[in-house]
Amino acid sequence: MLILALDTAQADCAACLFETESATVLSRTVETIGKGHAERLMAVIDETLQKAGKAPSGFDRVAVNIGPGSFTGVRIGVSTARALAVATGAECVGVSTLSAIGRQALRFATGRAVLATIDARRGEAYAQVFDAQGRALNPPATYAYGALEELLREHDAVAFGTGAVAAGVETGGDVTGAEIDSIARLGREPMPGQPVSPLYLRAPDAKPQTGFAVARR
Amino acid sequence: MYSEIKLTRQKLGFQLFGEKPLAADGRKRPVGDPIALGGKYHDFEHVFWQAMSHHQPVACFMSLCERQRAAARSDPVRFRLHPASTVVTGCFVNRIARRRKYSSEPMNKKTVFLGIESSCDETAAAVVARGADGHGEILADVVLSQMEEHAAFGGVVPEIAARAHVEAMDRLIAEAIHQSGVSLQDIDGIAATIGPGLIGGLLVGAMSGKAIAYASGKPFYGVNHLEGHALTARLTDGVSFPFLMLLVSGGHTQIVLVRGVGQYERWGTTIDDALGEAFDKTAKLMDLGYPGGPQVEKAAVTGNPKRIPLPRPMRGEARLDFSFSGLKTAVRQAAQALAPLEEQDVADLCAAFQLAVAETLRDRVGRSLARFRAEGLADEDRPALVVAGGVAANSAIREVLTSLCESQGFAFVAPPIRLCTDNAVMIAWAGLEREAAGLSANGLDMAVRSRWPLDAKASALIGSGKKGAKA
Repeated sequence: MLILALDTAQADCAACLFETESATVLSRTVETIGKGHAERLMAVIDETLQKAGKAPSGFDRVAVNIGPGSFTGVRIGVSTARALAVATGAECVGVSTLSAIGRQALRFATGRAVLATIDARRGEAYAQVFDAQGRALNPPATYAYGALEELLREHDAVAFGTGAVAAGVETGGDVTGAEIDSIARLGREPMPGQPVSPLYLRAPDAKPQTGFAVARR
Repeated sequence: MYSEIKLTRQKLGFQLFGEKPLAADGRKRPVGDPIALGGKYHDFEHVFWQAMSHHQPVACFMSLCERQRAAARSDPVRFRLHPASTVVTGCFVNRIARRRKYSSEPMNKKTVFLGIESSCDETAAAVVARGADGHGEILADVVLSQMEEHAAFGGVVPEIAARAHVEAMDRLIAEAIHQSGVSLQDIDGIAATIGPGLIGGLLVGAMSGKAIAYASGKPFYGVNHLEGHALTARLTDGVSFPFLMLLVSGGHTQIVLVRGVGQYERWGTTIDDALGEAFDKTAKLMDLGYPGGPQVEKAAVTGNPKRIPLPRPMRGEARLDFSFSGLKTAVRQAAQALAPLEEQDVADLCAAFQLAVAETLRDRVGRSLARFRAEGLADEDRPALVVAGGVAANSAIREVLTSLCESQGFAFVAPPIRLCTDNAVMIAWAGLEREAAGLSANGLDMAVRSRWPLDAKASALIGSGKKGAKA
């Protein structure tokens, strides 16, 4: 199976084409642009497919980074992936940034559980704990910086990612974000069929306006 | 494997359409027979769907769709389709009848576009065809409204809107293509709204459009939402250029001279709030619910419009602009003076507000029609005033505009409400019009624009910040 992986949830606008049988990345395009993903993404996909000598519909599955990350960035990736699936008949699956970070942290072979984190700003971090085999031990959630230490103690885990750095927690190695290769490799696992939705982990910043209406009898 | 399926399809086709001699010359009878014409795949697509799909329930789904279409034909007002939990209304046309028409006109080659719209709180997809004669045909029109999501906030919340768009867009596109009876291969271009509007939503529609255009190798047209509104009357009523457009919605209040595709002159715009926004705020002020327009109109029915005096902003001014923020404040002050409000107070306030709006429009639009005449733009006896936007649904406003047009010798053209409010039909149509006018397709690197005036030369009156003129 050929997996086209997409990531626009972070600073990178990235795509790669991954062959599952040989577990190899056939081609990869990564542009670290910070913003402007919507303008670059189709060119990045095109370059990736062309480098591998594939047609614009030459893949069996799209794996997309569903976040957490930039809300807008995540939506750019997810809407592109879902529309590509409609146009080509390919499967569409989602991979979270946290699971990618959790997987990448296994390289440091601490033999202990991994706390994958991403800085969510406003004194909070998105975080999830994985065991030494990369299996999730809890659902992804938003934590106050101060709550990360307790999470580490509870699971005897080692922290990785920008959330831990921002919270001043000691990390087990330098993992700054999800790599496109990890999105592709993890994209083998989910069962297709479910709609792929962004993983925001934070509610929209809106509340009903009170005190606007004039009193009525 | 492939040829086996194809053979079965042909057999089914013959069973369905009857065995007729294959005409060597397509123009000879029986021309109506799609097989004789060599046919396109979509001629038999309802048969193909069963053969091609891996899913057994498709046959049942197809018959369900047909039953729903039958229901829609018999009672289009009450008809509702619920593929998701939110309301979807569909404009269904008899697919079989349309298909025959489609294939019996080989000389009038039709161009088919997919349209995508997500600039505010409606997710929409549509498939529209345009003949070489300029005649358009709506093949599918699907709109999913987010009204419920925003009702609690009394207005559209951008982040909530964007989240709803991304969940629905791909399903709506697939549904529109399916309903149209045309396969993606036979669609000639993809048009998506790329501005003006809320960035989060625009990105979802634009990326979906780009992805489909890329994967299917079709040209991509980034469409200005306002251009969609401006050109709708050419699809519904065949209005010819030049004509005058009054766009009155929650985001815009403009009078635009439409000279041709891509040629727009803004004669007037609001210097503060849009008219639809003034309706929404008036409703919110009196706790009437969201969206406010229909609620204000309903409450105004039993009201006395003369009891509470309200200003007629900009009336008598030579420039053709609008202003509604002062009127909004006047309504608030009048309401506060009467508080706590009785039912009758609410009705009177709504009636007074609606009258103030109607009289303001009478003055502003009346002057625009006079200018249209004075500039000698009218080639024909009865040039058209086209109205667009959700506020066009208000019957008091329609009444004023109708009488105004009658007295000044203009044809009043109001497309069906469904096509006045946000929809994807107008986006597909704008794409078709651009293509027919020889305007080139856009690159897949095209950026979305929150601000994008239709008239690039008009100076900004409001909201001209670092992102440029607002409208």
